[in-house]
Amino acid sequence: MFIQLNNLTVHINRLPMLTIDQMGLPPSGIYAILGPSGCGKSSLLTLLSGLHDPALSYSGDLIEHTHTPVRYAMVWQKPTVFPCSIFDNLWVAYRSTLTAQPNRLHPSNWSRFIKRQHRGSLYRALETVGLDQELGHGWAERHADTLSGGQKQRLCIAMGLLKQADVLLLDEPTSSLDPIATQKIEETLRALSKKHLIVLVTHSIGQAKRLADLATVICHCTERNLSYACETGLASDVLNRPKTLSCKAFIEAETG
Amino acid sequence: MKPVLLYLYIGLTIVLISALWPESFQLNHTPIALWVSTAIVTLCATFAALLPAYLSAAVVTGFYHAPLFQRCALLILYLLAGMPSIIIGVAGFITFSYGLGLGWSMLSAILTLVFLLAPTLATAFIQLLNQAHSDHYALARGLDMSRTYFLFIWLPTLKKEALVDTLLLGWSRALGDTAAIMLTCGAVMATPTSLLDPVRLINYHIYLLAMEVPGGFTEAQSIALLQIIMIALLFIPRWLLQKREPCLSN
Repeated sequence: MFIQLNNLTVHINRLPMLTIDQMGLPPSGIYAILGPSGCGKSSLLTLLSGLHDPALSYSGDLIEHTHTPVRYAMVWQKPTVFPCSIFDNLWVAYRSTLTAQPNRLHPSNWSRFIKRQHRGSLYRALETVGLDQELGHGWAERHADTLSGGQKQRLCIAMGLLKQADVLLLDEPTSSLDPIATQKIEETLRALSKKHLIVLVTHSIGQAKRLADLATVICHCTERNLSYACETGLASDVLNRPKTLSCKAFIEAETG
Repeated sequence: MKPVLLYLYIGLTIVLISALWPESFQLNHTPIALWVSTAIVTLCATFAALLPAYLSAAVVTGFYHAPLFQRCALLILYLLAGMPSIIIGVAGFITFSYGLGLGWSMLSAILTLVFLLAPTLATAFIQLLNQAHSDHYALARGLDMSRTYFLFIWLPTLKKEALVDTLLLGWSRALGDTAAIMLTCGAVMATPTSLLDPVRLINYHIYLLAMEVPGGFTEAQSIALLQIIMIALLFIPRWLLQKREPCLSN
């Protein structure tokens, strides 16, 4: 396994919120995390990404079986891009990888010359998420706010790829999108999952069945006021033939 | 954007040239001497107020996690933002001109104006940062962008127009409160060569007029102090309501 979670407890404001006995994330593929609202799915993603959140802490083991630190990129639920050109959106993600330059914060590194040198890399990221054909020749100068919701989400995924992320963490990326945009994102994710690990938090059982290789269902115990990973394994097994009653109840409630 | 920058650049160049070589340009005893003094005082005050205002706004909007400092910043902000400029002028006069002995100097005027402008600028920055916090900060965090980089490099790049608007807002307020230099005051006769050269703020001027009450200087000062306390008391309920807002929204 690539990333291993053993006896992990996620705390919000020092109160235990979610426990996971064991969860192993492979180096590539799609790993779906499902569960009711407020059970701590997004907090788990934030914890995995290493983003600083003063309210969030954990106990237990979170082990990365790699020689170099794992790089994460997060794509949020709301399709949000920076209010500037598509080129600048991609560039701000890409610049973090330009470690060879002595001072990447220096204004000279923002010059048109440097940017032009890396234009090809940025375009390749757009190709990977299938935006190159849709945006056409004037993609670089086009304002990112003019994109549709689905295109914005794919631009966010492209930004994550430019960060050279090993793991893409997606927090309900299609919840506010129409079926056509959702389909395009799913195609993009399926293509990316051959090389990257994608951790997908979703409410849609159908989406998890269509996409995921592995899945974890999180359930909430009202008596202990604590969420827990009630079932983990191959997505086809967990979602089609749940073993525990709580997991079965959640899947039946979601699928109607 | 570019015409505004060009305008500021030309203005600053004229100010610098006239301040450095006043004799060469025969500017003394002309309205240009008054204009140069006003420009130096207002621009210095605006730029000096920018950073504290931006930092306070960053603390208030939760970019920096410092609950105690956040409460203090909110209290000071609401009190100062609600104060009429004359009250801040009086406080500035007492503290800088009288207390620190800076007199009717440009330095005391600049320091007073900083206190006058900081809340105005901070309020504008809070609106800007609130919007950025909800929309763009999560995205920036997802890309591993540091808070400092986001606040001081990336956000100013994204929001150039809003920042220039805020800058002009602060400068225009500063100009409004130094109009007396151009209209009434004979204190500026020459283009300034030092920060201790004389100028006079409009609120200093009003303070002096307000002191001319029957009963003398002591009675006038006690009335002024009472007024300050009353205004401060008026803003406490407003501050308490603002403090409760986050709980209500939850």
